[in-house]
Amino acid sequence: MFNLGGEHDKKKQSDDNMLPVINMTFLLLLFFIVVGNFSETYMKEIAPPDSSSEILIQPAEALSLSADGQLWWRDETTTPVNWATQLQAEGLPVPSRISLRADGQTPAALIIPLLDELRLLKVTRVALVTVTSPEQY
Amino acid sequence: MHLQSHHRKALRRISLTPLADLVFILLVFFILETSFTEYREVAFRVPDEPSKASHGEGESLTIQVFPGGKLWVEGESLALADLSSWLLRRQFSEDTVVLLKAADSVPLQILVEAMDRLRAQSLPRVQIQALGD
Repeated sequence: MFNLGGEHDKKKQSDDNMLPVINMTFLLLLFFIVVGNFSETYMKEIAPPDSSSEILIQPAEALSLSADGQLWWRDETTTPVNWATQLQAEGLPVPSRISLRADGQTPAALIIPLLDELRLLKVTRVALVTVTSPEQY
Repeated sequence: MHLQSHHRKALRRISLTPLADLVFILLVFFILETSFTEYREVAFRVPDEPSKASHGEGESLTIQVFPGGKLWVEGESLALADLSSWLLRRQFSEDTVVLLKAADSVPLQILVEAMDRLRAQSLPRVQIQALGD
């Protein structure tokens, strides 16, 4: 009986010691939930170019273009025509200004034909998503 | 009083270890999955026709862009790093439409760097075209 009581006290003491660790972990968890951004898996393979642009944007729905010319929209590969069809099926107009999250290594030979296709869909402006450049101009 | 003390004892017996385990797993998940990248944007106009710039009657400047950041502008060969000083010497107006004519293998990063330098010299009206057009 005496021994059991002793073990119980020991366990209680060990749990009490864990409380600050759990508190700290909860705080860290909250920090990551509130401050961090989630991105789709395919987006991690697309590294936007660096720029010194001062226009800060929130990561929103954007057409994505990988370095091999694959166009992505909402976690699926697509073509500009299919993208426009999908928008229209949802009752949304094709915007005249779009956000394009393209990989910095995508060659011009893949970007320019895409711009031509977007022009046919009445897209007049493209906002390229970039990340902060380490170098200043 | 006795009942309250008994209830408190019963609560204290719940082990915190599974809770701590779960919170640690969640923490590791969020550390690995979240990103703190700040996204910015660089906007440009899509030309009206593939072989024609939509700059109307205004002033325009054509810059040919080659791999490695080599430029050909108004009969001069330049490195991308020298574009800012070249533009500064020429003093173009803000309404000037700049046509970036890119060779097929030029990566987007080079074009964005060129657009950065143009914007820094107050030339935000940029269009991208193929070099062959």
